[in-house]
Amino acid sequence: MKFSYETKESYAEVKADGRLNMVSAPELREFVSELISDGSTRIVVNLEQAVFMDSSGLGALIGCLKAARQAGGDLRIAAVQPQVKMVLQLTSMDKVLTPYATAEEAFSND
Amino acid sequence: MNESVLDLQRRDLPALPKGEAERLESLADTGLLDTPAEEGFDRITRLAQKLFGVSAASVSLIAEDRQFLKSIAGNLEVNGPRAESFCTHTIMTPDTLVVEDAEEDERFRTNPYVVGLPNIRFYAGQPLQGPGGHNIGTLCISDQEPRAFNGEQEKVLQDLAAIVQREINVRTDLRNGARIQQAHLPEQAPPIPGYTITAAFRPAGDLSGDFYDWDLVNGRFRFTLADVMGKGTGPAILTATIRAGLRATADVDPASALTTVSRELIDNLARTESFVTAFHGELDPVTGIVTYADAGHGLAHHVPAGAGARRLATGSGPLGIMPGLQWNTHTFTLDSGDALVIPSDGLLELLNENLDELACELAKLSSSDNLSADLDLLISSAGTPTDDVTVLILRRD
Repeated sequence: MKFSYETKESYAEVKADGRLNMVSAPELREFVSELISDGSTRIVVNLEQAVFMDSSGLGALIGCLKAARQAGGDLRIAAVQPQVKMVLQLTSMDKVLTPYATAEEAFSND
Repeated sequence: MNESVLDLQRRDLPALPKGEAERLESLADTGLLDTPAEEGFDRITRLAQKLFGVSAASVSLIAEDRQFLKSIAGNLEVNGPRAESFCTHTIMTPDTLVVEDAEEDERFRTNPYVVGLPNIRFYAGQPLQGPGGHNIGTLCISDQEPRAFNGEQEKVLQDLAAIVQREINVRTDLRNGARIQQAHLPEQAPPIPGYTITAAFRPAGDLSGDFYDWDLVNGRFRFTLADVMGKGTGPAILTATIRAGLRATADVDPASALTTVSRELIDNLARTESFVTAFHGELDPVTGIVTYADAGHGLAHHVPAGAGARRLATGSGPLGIMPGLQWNTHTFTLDSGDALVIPSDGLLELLNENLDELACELAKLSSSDNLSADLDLLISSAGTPTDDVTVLILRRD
């Protein structure tokens, strides 16, 4: 899995590309931690290219969410693909990590 | 005394090591005997063969009456009787055995592998230990040409053997862990007239992040299927904790039990950035009413008699995700011919993450008379599972 980020006006966008699993989960966690410690606490994870997520991947997203909130910000997800959406629904985590259609929309109302 | 032991004595080979019975038990405990070649050992024997430039290097295990090569690099394959093996001499002492020229060595000059094919002349072996420190085999190298072997080379062989030893130790430890985890699973379901209860458990590795449990509490059948995030040793430790927590809360309804366990474990789970999905339920065998709470598991299916599988409502998220989460109790009735089928998400992953396919396969499994065999069949036809797979079925006759 590959990660990249882009700083937008009111948030930082992280693009995750590939499979979010036991191998890549710690990498995402690390990637977002560095962003947060560099001062970006409002983060959108763009999952348009994330074709698969397992429970470790979900754990990493939740870990990132907690870290962002602890730093006074928030973490949101966007462009979620069907399998990832299914995992979020099965685990009821879509109530905590609400998917937004696009990265732009994620922080558009606040 | 069997023939092979007499054989050993007839040849005036070394007497059996002291504590031979314990040694054989130690070998059995490693679980390595008669198992296929594995990369973890093969890469070390390949390295040894190249490093010393010999015809062969092997990890050899000395069983009661034969030598078994767990790993072999090169062309001197000797899976033969123990009595003729060089390594049976090596395991008599903790030291490296070096035979620079077998034809010059009293112990080996008449050995069939020296006199005949593969005509071994040079041999060096370092003992390997099983649990309890018994010498169970060797890392050894051999060649058809005699050669000198100095102290420095001996040290290299010992270092390589130490890597093999570590591989053995880690595996034995995991195997032991798996044995203990298995012992935490419930045995045969309690006999509840009118119901059939079965479960099957297939860890992806030695240790599993899945577990299931059941117990009869005050005439009610209490049951759980849970899945700790990830797989392997860390999650396996957590399964034991969750199981204990849910057993200790058997006097309250399933939703309150989950709420209590989550509250107790939230700090520990948060520290490891882990979470647990669980289906926790209770059946009243008299009425068939199932009371359950679902912590982000979301995969339990009700299969009514003669109908398709229906996925049951999930509740709040997994255990350990957020402080203050509470779970709700749901109920449904298990009528005659109905089944409740609870898989772990390893099965969904195996079925290409396809919920329709999962529902279809669960409906088939729900009427299985041999869940273990049918699940194995399903697993083998779907490919190699990368996650733990567990299925629990509760059927009303």
